[in-house]
Amino acid sequence: MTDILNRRLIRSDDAVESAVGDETVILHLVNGTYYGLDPVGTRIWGMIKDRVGTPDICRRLAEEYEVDLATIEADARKFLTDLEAQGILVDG
Amino acid sequence: MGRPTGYHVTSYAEMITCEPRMSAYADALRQAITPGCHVIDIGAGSGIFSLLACQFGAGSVIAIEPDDAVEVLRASAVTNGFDDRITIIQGISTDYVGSRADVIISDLRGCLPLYEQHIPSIVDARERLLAPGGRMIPARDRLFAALIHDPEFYRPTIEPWLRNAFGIDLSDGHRFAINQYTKTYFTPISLMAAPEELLEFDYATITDPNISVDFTLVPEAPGEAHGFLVWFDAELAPGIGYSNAPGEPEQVYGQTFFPFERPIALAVGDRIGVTLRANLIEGAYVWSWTSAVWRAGAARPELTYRQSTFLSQILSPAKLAQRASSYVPFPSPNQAIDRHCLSLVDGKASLSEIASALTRAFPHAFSNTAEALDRATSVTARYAPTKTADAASEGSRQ
Repeated sequence: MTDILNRRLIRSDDAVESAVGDETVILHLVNGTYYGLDPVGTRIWGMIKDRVGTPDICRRLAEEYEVDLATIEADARKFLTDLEAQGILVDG
Repeated sequence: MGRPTGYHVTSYAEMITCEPRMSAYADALRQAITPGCHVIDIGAGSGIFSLLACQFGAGSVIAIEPDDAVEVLRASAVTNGFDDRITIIQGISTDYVGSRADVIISDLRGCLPLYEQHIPSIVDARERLLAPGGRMIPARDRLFAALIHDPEFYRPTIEPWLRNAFGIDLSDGHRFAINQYTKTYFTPISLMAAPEELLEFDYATITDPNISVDFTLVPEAPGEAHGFLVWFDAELAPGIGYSNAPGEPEQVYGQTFFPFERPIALAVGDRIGVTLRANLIEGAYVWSWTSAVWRAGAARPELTYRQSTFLSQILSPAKLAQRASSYVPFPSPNQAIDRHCLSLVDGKASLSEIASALTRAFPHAFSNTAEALDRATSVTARYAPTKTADAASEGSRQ
């Protein structure tokens, strides 16, 4: 199975998001569930919307937060898998 | 189905005097009623359809309405001598159990048919409560849209948010203003092109309360577009209906205006591709509209606006987090009071006695018994048995 970090993911048309301070609330229109993003999640979400590739997202976060790349990748993998499971991210 | 509407009796008066709506409903009912037939009136309100059904010869009518407006119907039924034929169910139709009806009549729409529990209620009633060959009134609704130019109407989405007389930057409020629809009534002069038909709700077959529809708006002349208007035309029965289109008589439904995020200057040959979605979430519709502006001959849209009523809500992540299935709620002093209050409900203790017990148990929460009485009244009222269950058996007639 392809590592989610090597796949191109985009926002589902079923997801609408609302910025609240430095956080984000996403509503999935079909299943009616809310999903909250903290500031780091909001940063990742912003890059996904800007069509930044997943490897680049991890590199940028590693630089911005001064965390080693392997840790960032592990966290991003979990985060993106969760968003995909919620139907918020889909293959682009 | 639905919660108490809170309509004042004057609201019902407005509906009953709304033309051509009311005459069309009366005609459809007259056409559908056969002598002695069984009718269910969903969202009966003050009961005009139930009363008319009796006048036209129905043998029995179940009038279902959650609001206390049923008391007006109860009195009117007696006044008109129909009380032996009308059974009032104060509750919601999806809780009602009874024999199937020859005619089911309702008007649970708002500005549009996509309103609160209208469609789920109709689907439920059709599946459980309509006799084979029975009639649903209304039979179908059709949705239309048209491109709108109206700078004056659009002005409140700009002012004071993007410009005001005080030199204050209020742009943070703009997103809330621009992601709301507005009930209105336009005349044809505001239309930039002929209407587009979007879709039809056939109540004999509909199952999904949600919609997603794509359509294209093309101006007939150059101009600035401010949004699009959506309305519905109703077919209550074959050959009987009414329209809410611009130019038709203004009715209680009105029309619904969806603004664009910014005014869009359009030339002949330009077009706007719109995806309009309505999703029923927790009993209310979230409307989303994505508008892509295509210039004449262009291979891709020049700009795209993604708007949603979801974005017009002021949200708190902390409060939303409390609604997640993974959230672990913590006990609170208020919860303890309510729990104790409910534990005192045994079918014997009066509200006064419950209030006294609450005051003794929570002396710091209540400075006097009156406060405790208010609390006991509101808590117990939430669980008060409705008349639905009792009356349902009365309604099980053949």
